[in-house]
Amino acid sequence: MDIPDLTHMDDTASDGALDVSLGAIEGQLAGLRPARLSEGLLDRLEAGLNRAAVVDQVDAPEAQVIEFPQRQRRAWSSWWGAAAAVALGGAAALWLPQRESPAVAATRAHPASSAPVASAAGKVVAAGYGRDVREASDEGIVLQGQVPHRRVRVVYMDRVVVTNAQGEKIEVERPRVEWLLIPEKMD
Amino acid sequence: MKTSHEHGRQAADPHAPQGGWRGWLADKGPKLLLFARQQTRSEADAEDVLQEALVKLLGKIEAGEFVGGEEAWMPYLYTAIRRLAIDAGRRDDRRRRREESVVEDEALVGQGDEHPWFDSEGSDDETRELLEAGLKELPAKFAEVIVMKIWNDKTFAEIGEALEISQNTAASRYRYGLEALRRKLGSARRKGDL
Repeated sequence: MDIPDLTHMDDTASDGALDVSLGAIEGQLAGLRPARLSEGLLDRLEAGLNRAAVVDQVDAPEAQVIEFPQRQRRAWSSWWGAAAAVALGGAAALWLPQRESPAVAATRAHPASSAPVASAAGKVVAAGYGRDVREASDEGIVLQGQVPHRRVRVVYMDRVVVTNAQGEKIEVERPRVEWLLIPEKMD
Repeated sequence: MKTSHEHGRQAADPHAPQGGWRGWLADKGPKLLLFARQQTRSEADAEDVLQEALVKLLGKIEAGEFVGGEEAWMPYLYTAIRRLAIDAGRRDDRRRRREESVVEDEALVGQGDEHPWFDSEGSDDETRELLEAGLKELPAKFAEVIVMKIWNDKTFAEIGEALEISQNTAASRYRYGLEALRRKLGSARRKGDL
């Protein structure tokens, strides 16, 4: 594309329409096409939308997503969250009765007569959180701002335990990696 | 008994746009990702934020809480992306304060260079790279208006609404941003880069 010489043109943009030189820049920008999504990202986004729908549509009347106490911010963080939610929702679906089963229909039709059951139906309650160190490895010395640091890779396993309406415990685990930098003494 | 996966496939269809999510994402995704890239500090954050915004949208649609039809999805997504990007930025800041040095973060920041914001087709690479670099260097408040105006066909009124600024402010930022880009191009021409 031929770039017009813009340097000698009037720098003043009026309050109304853009002047010619700004219009040229605008035209050049408009000629750029935002990069297409990679197949991998398309897969990920599409699967994310489908999984979100799974969680929403699981037969559990009140399927709930239990957040881990500390969210990760890495690229795969929301992915793990979604995966955990799906696993949780899927597991809950196995324990809960079919949508049209007589028992559930009766509960919905007469909530007052079976209040204790109805209020507990489909509830998934957090029963505990945990975190274990699964693995730690020394990755040697790295320079950080001209200061030597020892880099240690630590793999944690975060764990959430929930209890469903039947009192059964469901455990969901999520691995997490952190790198620790420890200043190293120099002689 | 159907598996939850089967339920999910069936359930996604009623709310999916014509042609399915994949087709919609292939069409709208590049614009949304460009906006997310401009709003965040790394490619990973941009992709996370985009995904979270989409999942939020679907959640609202399925809960019956979304006001408007498919034509209202994009404005909602821009607002959601912007808010999620602000949240992600705050989390980053807190994390950085807690940790004096994070090797991993440095690696992530560098990843931006491997993901060009624009396709090279239809424009010469030097110009594209220069404009892209200029856009990335612009203060975010100028760049976001340019991105929304040029690649998302928003009016200044719509941009103002999405960014919670006045229409005139949006127009001024657009003009200042273009002027800054023009200066950058002019400077490159003088140096012989172009």
